[in-house]
Amino acid sequence: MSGSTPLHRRTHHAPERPERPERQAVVVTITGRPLSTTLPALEECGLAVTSVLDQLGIVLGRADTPTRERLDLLPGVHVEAEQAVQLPPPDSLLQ
Amino acid sequence: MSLDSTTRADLPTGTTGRTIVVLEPGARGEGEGLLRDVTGIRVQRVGDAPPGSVPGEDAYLDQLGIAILAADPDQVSALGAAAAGTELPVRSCEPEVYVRALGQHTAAVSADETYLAEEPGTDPATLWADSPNATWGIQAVHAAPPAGSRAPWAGSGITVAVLDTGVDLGHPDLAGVVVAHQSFVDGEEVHDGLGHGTHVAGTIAGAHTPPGGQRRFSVAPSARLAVGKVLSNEGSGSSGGVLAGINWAVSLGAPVISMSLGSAVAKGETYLQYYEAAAQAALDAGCLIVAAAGNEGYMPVGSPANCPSVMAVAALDRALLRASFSCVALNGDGGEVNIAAPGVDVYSSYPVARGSYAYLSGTSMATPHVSGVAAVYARATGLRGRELWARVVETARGTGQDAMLVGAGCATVPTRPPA
Repeated sequence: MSGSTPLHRRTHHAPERPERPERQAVVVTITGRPLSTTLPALEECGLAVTSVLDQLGIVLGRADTPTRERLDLLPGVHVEAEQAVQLPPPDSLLQ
Repeated sequence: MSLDSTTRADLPTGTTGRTIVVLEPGARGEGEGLLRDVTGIRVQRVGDAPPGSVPGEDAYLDQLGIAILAADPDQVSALGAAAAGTELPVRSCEPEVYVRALGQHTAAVSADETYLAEEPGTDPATLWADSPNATWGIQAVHAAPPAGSRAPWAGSGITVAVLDTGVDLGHPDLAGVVVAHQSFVDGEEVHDGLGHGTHVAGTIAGAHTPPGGQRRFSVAPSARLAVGKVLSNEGSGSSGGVLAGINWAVSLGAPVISMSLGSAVAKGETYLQYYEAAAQAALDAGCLIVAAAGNEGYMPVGSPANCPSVMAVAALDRALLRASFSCVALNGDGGEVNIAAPGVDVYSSYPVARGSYAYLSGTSMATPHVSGVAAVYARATGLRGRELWARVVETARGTGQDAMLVGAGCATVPTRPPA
């Protein structure tokens, strides 16, 4: 195991197209309400769903800041940023 | 730690007078200069010392960023101030303590632990060691049973999900072991290009009798593996990929999910809700998640092992004491260490292209020992989920160290006298 590193870094060069709000990879945890009926509400808030983890009540997706703010208002819905996971290099003494 | 005075009162106990300094990982390369500047001590670089060698006075383990100093009190206080502040990359500064070989301690303690002296190839006056037939790790968890005992269960019928870098599907010691596999890494097959996952998989369910004549290194050789590749061949991934792997493992109904992965956590930082929700859902479905506590030293248990519903595994050294790199229970609310297992100089399978076998150390190596033990209990008792968790923890052997360091102690499979 090792420390985490930022998964999504801002690019510092000028955008080629008109700037759009940055969308971050997020993990949406749903508790106390059915996933199937919650999913449309998430999309309505602007969440771009990438994966539905039906066994866990969790939805992976991408969201900009206004979308996250809308999602945070939904009862039983908790939004967190996805994290990076990184092992040490293979020649490290500790794994 | 203390030594039972009824066994060997002549052995030293407590602190040695030396100080162990752990540098931040980024400062490992500059450790000698840093220590000279702060303390005036010129340390001797140990470098790639072979396992088991004992560093002398004022030694610097450059690969680990750890110095062992015979410093006087003034120098110690300077180091302590550096560790407490943020101006220097010193992670911790703790007194070195005497450790004792298990065999010296256990003979008079309990009949259950007298086996060490009887284990073939093991000198009771030394640390745990690999024998020609079995690694020290599977001896310590009783998977290679003590003399006068047998291990009647080996995890048959139990699927353990391994969420890691994949495995070398062509490794002869894993032939027929992998019953399901899926990659959650874009553009990469499940094949393990790194070695980490193959090592972990071998510790859980490598062949009982490796065809190449290697010593046995698996805790549950009759278990089967579901291999979810959630870390790339560079060892990187995302928590979303880990969650996708957990979701897959739960859908398969794997009673044990082994995760030798994670991220560092700061003091006072709490767990991520999505990991806890996933772990609860897994337990509800009868799937126990076992995860590495982390290798950050005297720092909080990492994520996701810091979730209340994830079993956090510390690493033990050959004396069955907490390995100095193994994270500790500095944060509450899930940040406990639940259990421990061998995690130093662990011999297991490695990709054939990288030499087929390797010794590795870390809580990543301790975790699959516990996963294997859990698989054996799942087979032996039929328990699942929270009940399986309770059984694995309550059958761990206390090692004499505080639960903050090693939880309930060393995970141990059930054994019986010969029929």
